[in-house]
Amino acid sequence: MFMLVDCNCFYVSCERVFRPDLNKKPVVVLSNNDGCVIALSKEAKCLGIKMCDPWFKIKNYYSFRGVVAFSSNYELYADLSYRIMNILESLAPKIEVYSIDEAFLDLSQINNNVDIKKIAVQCQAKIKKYVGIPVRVGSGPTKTIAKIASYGAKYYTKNNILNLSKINDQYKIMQDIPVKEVWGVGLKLSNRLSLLGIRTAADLLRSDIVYMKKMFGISLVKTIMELNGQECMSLQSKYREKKQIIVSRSFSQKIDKLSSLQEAVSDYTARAAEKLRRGKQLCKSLTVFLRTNTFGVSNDSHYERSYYVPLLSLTDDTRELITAAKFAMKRIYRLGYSYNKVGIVFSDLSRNNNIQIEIFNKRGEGRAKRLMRAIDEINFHNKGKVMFLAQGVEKCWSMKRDYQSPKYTTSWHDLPGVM
Amino acid sequence: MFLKRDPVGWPSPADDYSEDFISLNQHLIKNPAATYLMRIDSNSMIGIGINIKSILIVDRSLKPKNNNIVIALVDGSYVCRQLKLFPKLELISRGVVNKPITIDKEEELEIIGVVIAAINQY
Repeated sequence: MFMLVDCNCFYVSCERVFRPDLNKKPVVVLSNNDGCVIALSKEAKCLGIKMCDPWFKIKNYYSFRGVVAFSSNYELYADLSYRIMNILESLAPKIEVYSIDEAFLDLSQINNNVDIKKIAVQCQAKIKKYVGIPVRVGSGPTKTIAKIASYGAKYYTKNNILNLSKINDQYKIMQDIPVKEVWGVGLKLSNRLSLLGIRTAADLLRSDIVYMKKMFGISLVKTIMELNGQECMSLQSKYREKKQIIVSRSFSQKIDKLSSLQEAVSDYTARAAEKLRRGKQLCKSLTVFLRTNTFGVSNDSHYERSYYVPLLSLTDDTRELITAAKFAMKRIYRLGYSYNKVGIVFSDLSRNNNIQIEIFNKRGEGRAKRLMRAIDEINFHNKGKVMFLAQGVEKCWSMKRDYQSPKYTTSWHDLPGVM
Repeated sequence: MFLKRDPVGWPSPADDYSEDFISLNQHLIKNPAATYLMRIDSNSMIGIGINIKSILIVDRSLKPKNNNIVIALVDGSYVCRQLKLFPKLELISRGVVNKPITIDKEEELEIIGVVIAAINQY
């Protein structure tokens, strides 16, 4: 048996943990640069707000109606997510962290429905009490059915727990679930499927496997087999080593000056280098990319380039990485465009413990290591306290987060106050 | 680590005995996933040594007992008080003026967590 634990509108729930006055009030969370709605509470949905609505268009109308908006506060969401995953690890022998707000639990040793129900109730109660986040729990013989159970728990149950171990229950609920909600199908494929008359999960289950394989390939066949209760997808291990590190953001305003772009790319590089060192990894090459707005512009004002730089030796030194990133940026920059996004990718990563000794290794390696460690230690407690001048001081390009809540759990200055 | 920097000379006779620094986290926090830090913005608990601006270590996993210092949800905001289970259910402040919050029905009281330590900084 598999169990899927999924947080109910996670970002909104996180905001509410420290703002209990917002319980039962309409709340939305906005994407980077306060662009559009990426999470909304039930109450906000009832007022007519939808996912991906652009905030600037609906702001006046809904603020007046008491909707409270937050910029995304990923520091907070990551911390609460980490706590939830920790609790789940204590409740199941094996878990797969599927996303920031979802995890699969492998309960293959447990086949007794009473025990499964007990674990589901325990997950829900513990996470609510310990962290303050409401979750729904769906279980079934395969991951795909567990996903369906989680969907069913959201719409068809009061307590947000649904166990689909019985074939009858599975089939009954699949008749009500649109095929686009089935894990691995999605909107595009569901449009093609509807031409064949396949509209619900149950329709898909009944379809002819040989024909479907010819038409849509093996991955859809796997989905159908999973719907049939045949396990095709096992749990992915949690400790996948990162193959690359990417940091990229869109700007709050368009940027045309090279110096500002170099500042931005240096800032992202410093951030990526921090991640690199935290994972005890080194990188051998990096790629810088930049692009103009792709949306609603004519072709001649659009420009997009990337540049790959192999490094002389494996490194995790922010200074070397920034130098390389700035060099790459200079190579791809063209005057006369207004850019809206830059980013950096570190690739060819390897573990820090078994490094070949490079012939051209510079002297003073130990000092660089100590410097980086000192910077990381200071910035761990006070984010952004120490930085390189290349990262820029004013950061006119930095993200707009006008409605951000305090970093309640990750900053000493932002601890929640009590009376 | 130190030997690498300076290969000449004797290793410290204390090396074998060195251990990690004692850690406040390890000592105070039994359940990290359920523990939050908060800051008290009033002097309502000053009588038992929790000064204004003290940092409270709050464990949400513990079952609150009589006389525990707790964080409770009252009228949509969090307060720090002492919990009395008998003779009647009350939240007691330990400030200059003691004004208890009486709770009529048990369902109305939501205890968020138990304050397991307070850090006063001088």
